[in-house]
Amino acid sequence: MASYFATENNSDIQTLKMKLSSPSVQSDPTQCRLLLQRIIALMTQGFDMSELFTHIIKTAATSDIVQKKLVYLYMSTYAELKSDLALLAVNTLRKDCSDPNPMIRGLALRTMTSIRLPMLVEYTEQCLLTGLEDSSAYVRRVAVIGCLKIWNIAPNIITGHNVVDKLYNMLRDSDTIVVTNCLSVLDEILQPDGGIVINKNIAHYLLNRLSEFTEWGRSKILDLLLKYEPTQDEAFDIMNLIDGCLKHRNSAVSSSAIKLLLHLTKDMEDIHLQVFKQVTGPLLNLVTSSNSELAYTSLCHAQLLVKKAPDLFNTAYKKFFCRYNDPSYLKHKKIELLSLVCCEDNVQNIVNELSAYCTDVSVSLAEKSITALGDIVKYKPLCSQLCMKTLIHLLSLQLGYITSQVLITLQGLFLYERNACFISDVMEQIPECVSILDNSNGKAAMIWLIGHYGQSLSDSPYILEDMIDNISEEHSNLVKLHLITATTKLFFKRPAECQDMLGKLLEHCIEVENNVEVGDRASMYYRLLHEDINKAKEIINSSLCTVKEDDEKPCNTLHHIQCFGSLSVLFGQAKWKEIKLRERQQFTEKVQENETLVCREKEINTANLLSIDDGDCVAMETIKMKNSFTLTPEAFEGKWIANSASEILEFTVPSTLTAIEVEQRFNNHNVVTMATSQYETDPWKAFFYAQDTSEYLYLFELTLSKHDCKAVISLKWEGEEATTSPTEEFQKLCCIILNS
Amino acid sequence: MLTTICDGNLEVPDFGFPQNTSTDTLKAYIHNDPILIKGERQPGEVASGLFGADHRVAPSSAANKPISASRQLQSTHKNEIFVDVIERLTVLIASNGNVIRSEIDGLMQMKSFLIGSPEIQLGLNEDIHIRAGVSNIGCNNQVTLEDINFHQSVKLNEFDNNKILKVNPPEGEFTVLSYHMSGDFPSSLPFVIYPYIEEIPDKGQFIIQLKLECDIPSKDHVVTYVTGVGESAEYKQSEKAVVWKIKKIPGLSDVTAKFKVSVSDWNKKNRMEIGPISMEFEIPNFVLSHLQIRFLKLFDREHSYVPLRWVRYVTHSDSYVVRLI
Repeated sequence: MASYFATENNSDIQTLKMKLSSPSVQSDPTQCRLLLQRIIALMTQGFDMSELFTHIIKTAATSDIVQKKLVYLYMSTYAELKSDLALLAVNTLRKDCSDPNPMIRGLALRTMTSIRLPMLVEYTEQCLLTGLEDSSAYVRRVAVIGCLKIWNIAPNIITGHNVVDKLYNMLRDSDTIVVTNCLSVLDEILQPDGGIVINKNIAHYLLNRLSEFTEWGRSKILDLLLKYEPTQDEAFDIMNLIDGCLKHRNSAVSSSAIKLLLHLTKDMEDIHLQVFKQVTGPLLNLVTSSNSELAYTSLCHAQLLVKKAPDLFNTAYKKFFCRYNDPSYLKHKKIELLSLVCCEDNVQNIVNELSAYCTDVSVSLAEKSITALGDIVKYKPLCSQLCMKTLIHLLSLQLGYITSQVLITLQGLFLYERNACFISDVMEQIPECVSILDNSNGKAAMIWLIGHYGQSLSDSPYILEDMIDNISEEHSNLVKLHLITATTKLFFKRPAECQDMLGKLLEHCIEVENNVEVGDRASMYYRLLHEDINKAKEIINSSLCTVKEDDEKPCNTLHHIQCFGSLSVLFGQAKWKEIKLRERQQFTEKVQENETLVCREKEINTANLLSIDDGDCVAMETIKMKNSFTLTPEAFEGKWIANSASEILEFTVPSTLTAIEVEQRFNNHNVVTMATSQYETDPWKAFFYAQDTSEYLYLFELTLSKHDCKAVISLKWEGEEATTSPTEEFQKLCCIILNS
Repeated sequence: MLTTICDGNLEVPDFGFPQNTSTDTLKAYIHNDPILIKGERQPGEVASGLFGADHRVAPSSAANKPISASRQLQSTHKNEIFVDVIERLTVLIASNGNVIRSEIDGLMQMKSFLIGSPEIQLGLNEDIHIRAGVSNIGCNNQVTLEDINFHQSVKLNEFDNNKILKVNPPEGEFTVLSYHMSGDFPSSLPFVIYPYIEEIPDKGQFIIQLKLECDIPSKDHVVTYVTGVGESAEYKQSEKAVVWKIKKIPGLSDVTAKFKVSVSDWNKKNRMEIGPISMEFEIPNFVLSHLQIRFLKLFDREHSYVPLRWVRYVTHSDSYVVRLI
């Protein structure tokens, strides 16, 4: 078998051609089969076998079914490339559509409908319509799906022959797979009108036959029944019928059954809650499954249910404890759920378990569990005492990454008044934390706490003083910003101790510091303090803003029940809308392109699936820049400061674009570089200028951020006002430069 | 074989809609001849049981034969049926010895090489109870399952009274039933670890002594996952873990090991960084839940052969974690 994928000398196209046409091969079916298998293997590996098209078609006229299958497989792969030669195959295909063997009829029909060439459609039409009424169920199944394939290329045929009505009639077919196919096809064809219509007759008929269907059919029917609105008695009957599906071993069937039950009872409050309890059983079975992906998906759904009924898993919380070999994404999800199902009865056990994870070998797991403890404090006030004590205890362990994360979490928790009693305990531990903190976020959190609550801690000014003395070694801008604010706040409370160091700090930040943000903040504070100290105190110590709602995490808001069992639960509502929008755009583009004879393949950039894309830039006539224009640095600075208003333009750039390339490209378009920061820094900043043929002068600052693939341009221009704003033209030019 | 895969791929999904995934019906559509992998079948041994009733023992690879289509009946074809009861344990033990979590996920798999599809009757323990909810209290050696799910083709008319299952097995491997059990079990947990940790601040060392006790009735043997002669231990830098491998432990015995950990910058809090112990093992011939197959009978009027029936019980560890601190 390994030899199928070995590259041998006889993979040469010419050799294969000769072999195919040799009479010895044509007469011996085994040899022919082997040769075809060889060709298919090469095709699978990616070699282009399209030149053999005519030769292979000739071998289609055979009675050996294995050979036929191979030939048809080849044909459906290459027919679009060789559309002019595809017509040669039509006769054989049509003949096979009336073959006595139903397997061959089905095969031929499937191949004909899979070849997406509009010119073949007129031949396929008749075979398709005959196939819909074939005596063999196998052929009927293929014919029904074939209708959908043809509808994608030539919808007029489907509407012309009233195929939709025929398919509705075929719902009464004896073969259940044919019925399932009809349902799927009708749902898709009628999508612009809201999908297939499930009226009372159809609903009752499907429910009565439910046990005969395959698991995939059952899952489809249960999904479609969401469209049917039953009366109350009918609803109870339906619920009894689908009760058996809840425990089905196929998770798709059981999740569709859960969805339907929840949908049917959504207006009956007490029964709705009972249903919630009933569905926890099957859901928890899936959570403990050995398949990690299945467990993750069921956890996302459990998270969805917990929002509506928070005490659903109060006793079953142990199922959410992490197993040793669980992959990290699964462990993270379980920890999230543990913080959601916490209640007064189980808080002790859950907190014990989470604290065990806090000292785990994996840093990200430890951070996640600490954050989870913080979440319990935020959202479950009754359980918060124990969690706060645990967090403070963790501080005393003096482990670097744990201390940073705890401080970051505590920063958010003290915004709630009820946790104010713990402030002094925390502040006592701070002096010991100073030396072990290695993470800049942790340091920033500690500095913030000192600034805000430092009045009770006697050492606080001296801690800050140490940090200020070493500020030249500090790299993180976040730490510096927090240091400025914290020192100023502490100065208002303990002026005598802090005055000198505040002065030193501000001086350093304004004079020596390179970073614009740090310098700006320092100079603003300096001017405020200079003007009016009381006013400054009021502004800087202004009451903290109210606690913001968290960003929408997946499953944070309660989706409509319709989403249960679908991918949107995993991605979250906002991201899912984006993905769907993109799919619809691609579909309409494809429909437009199908009007040409050859279909081009659309590339989907999967790397960008979860990020936001700008629209594609269109190549148009652009402004041209003069190539002999120069400005001195002083002139540039003069013009920059004189022009106060600037426009901000944002662009998305490919992730492979480097700073050097960007500069090069602008230079190629006669845009001159004034100054740049170091090429390796991220974000990279640079100043450019240019003058175009209509005497407009452009000055701009470009900030390139590699890790989010964005470029921001702050543009100032000079020149006479004209009918079209030069900004638009400039934007087009930049679009081309940055995205070509 | 590539073309068999292609055949399968053509038949199962059509334009993205799954058509048919049942192996019985799919077989008719696959026209390529299968290539059989002939495994060497070692001869079985005969082990003596109680009261002179001998039962035969076959090596565990005996079930790994290919299922050949009935149209290619070979002369050496034996009519056999293999039934496996496989349990996976999830256990979490705290540092003070309390069992925080103990669960069993079990399933019964059947692999049938019988010609045709005769009806098989399987009898389970008569004292099985199915009770959803918390642990069973006062068990009396009963088997109390939290949840049990059966395959579609299993007929349950005699299950409630006599705990008998009737099934017509399709060819190939399938899961007859799966069950779940949590809380206290009829027998004690198979492994208990007694840890002892000593700190030596002067030298910056911890000494961790572990005594592993195996609490299973003595006639059963335990084999852990791995090669190696006897025992061995090594430190894996990438996982920051010490791996201690033991090839076999007989029941009702114990093994001890001493590990010395040197820490470069000593801090009394370093003890908190000692992580939990995770065990991976396989116990043949033993199931913690005491689920048993009392009998397995065949009813086939068309053929007059006596089939060979093989039954195997195995317990695996899914996640067996003992915390030290």
